Amino acid sequence: MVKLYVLPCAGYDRPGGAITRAVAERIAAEDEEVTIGSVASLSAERPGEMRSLLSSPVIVIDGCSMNCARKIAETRGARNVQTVDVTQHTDPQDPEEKRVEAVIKVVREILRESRERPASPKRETTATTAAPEAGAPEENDLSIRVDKFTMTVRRGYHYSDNDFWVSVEGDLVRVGATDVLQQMVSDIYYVELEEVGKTVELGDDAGRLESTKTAMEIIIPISGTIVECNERLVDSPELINESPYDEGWLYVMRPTDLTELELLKNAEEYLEYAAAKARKELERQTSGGGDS
Amino acid sequence: MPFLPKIGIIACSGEGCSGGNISRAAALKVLHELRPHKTLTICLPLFLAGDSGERGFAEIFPTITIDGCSKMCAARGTARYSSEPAVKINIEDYAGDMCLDDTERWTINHSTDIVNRIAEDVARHVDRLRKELEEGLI
Amino acid sequence: MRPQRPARNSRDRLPVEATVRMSGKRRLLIPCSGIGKAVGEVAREATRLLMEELRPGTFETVCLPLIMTDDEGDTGELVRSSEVFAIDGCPKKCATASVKHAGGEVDHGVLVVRVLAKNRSHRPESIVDIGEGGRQLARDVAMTLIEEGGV
Repeated sequence: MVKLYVLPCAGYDRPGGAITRAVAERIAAEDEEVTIGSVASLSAERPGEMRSLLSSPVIVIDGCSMNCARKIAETRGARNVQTVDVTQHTDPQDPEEKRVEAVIKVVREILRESRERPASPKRETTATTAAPEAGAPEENDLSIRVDKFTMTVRRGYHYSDNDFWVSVEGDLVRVGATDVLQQMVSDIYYVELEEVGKTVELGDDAGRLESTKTAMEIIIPISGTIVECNERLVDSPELINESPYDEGWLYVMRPTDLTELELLKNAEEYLEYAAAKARKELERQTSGGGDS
Repeated sequence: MPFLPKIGIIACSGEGCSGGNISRAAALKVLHELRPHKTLTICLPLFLAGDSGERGFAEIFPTITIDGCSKMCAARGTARYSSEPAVKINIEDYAGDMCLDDTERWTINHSTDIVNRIAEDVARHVDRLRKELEEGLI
Repeated sequence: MRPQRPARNSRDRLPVEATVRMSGKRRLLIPCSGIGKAVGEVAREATRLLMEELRPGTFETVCLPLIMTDDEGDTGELVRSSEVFAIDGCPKKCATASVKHAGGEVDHGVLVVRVLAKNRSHRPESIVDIGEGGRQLARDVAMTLIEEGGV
């Protein structure tokens, strides 16, 4: 039977916190396959707790709409967490025991559905880590771990399926390669950029990259005219690896039609897409003896 | 099946003597031939140099270290900078002190059998650790 | 049991004085030799070329992990007192980082991907087999270090 990780917020500052704790304890007492998670241990990233979180289906019970437990579970790498918000299923005027029973009923239903469903691919090796060294994700970044690789996506940017990003800067846009792309291609040692003044359409090739794994065209994610190239990349192509969203940018462009941005993914959408892509790539590499 | 984490393989891979090359060859055989989808490599130099991805993985998931000599650099480095390895392989347990002999330092000439034995043992440990993970024992 | 072969002990075979320059410093060659990327294997192959074929008797080497873990031994002192040649595979520069960790300085460093940028047809194939391109790249790397280090 699949083990289940049930994470109550257990907060002391709201009445719902006590209910989540009581629900988790009752569920665990009646179901030996349930492990009760600890928000505190996840905050400290205790290895055993992290392992349980990342290797089991996760049900979060939050005592209020702040959803603290869900947030901590997701920032520690759990994906598609099933959340039970106590306030959505109970009346605050009811006695505590009645509220506990109501939430237990909801959790039991989720447990039943979890076991009836075929094992879903949504449980992935994902975890957010804020690496402290240079090039580490900023606060504004989302990150996802696939195996040992932590891939970062910057909030507020727009992303193409070809793994290039666009950020809007006034009337202009800046374009670059995503962190996911740079990790998949590995060490970039050569960059060839188009000249300033060239007009390109969304999907056009505009320059190329060569890395220790592959050679690829730069596929422009938005139509426009190139007004600036990142000349530093000629001598230091590794900037794309080291700082894909900042120093490793490729072009500044004057866009033809900013509504094209609607064709691109936002950070959250791209994160999901990129994780799936990265997993496929890792499987391909391990089969082919590539870098790992 | 629920998601099951991969097992990290860390070879000392040292250039100082034959044992390092044998550890490297055994690790590569497991990673790319025997258990390619169940293992991943953790680059020891990168790990020691402070890469958060490599260290973060080893903190959370089980690792197997393969050391070429009794100095046990991979095992000690992993324990110091991340967490205690689940399995510590010392090549001396298979073949004695390989650093007394320099012929395998750069290429595997006479040690194919040793490499295979170590790799097969590591693969067995990988299977065991994943089973224990699956059963919630570790 | 391993077959008995004539001993070729790396610690004895190269007399220390063979690696000593006029400055009195020993020449220490440290590759990153990472196992995660093909360029790490190239760094290792370049080291082999330098030590076995191109400049035998010129360099000593030491296990990189030992530099990071040998707090009690004399590895750190060896690094600090030697003329250090480092071969790094990728811009993470683990070999250089290890030398610095031991309190030493890299006197002559080469970055494999930078050498590759100068001759892009010499691309390694994979970590398992770097292929002909990788072997040529290793030779390029070795020659670059010879030139830069004046050895």
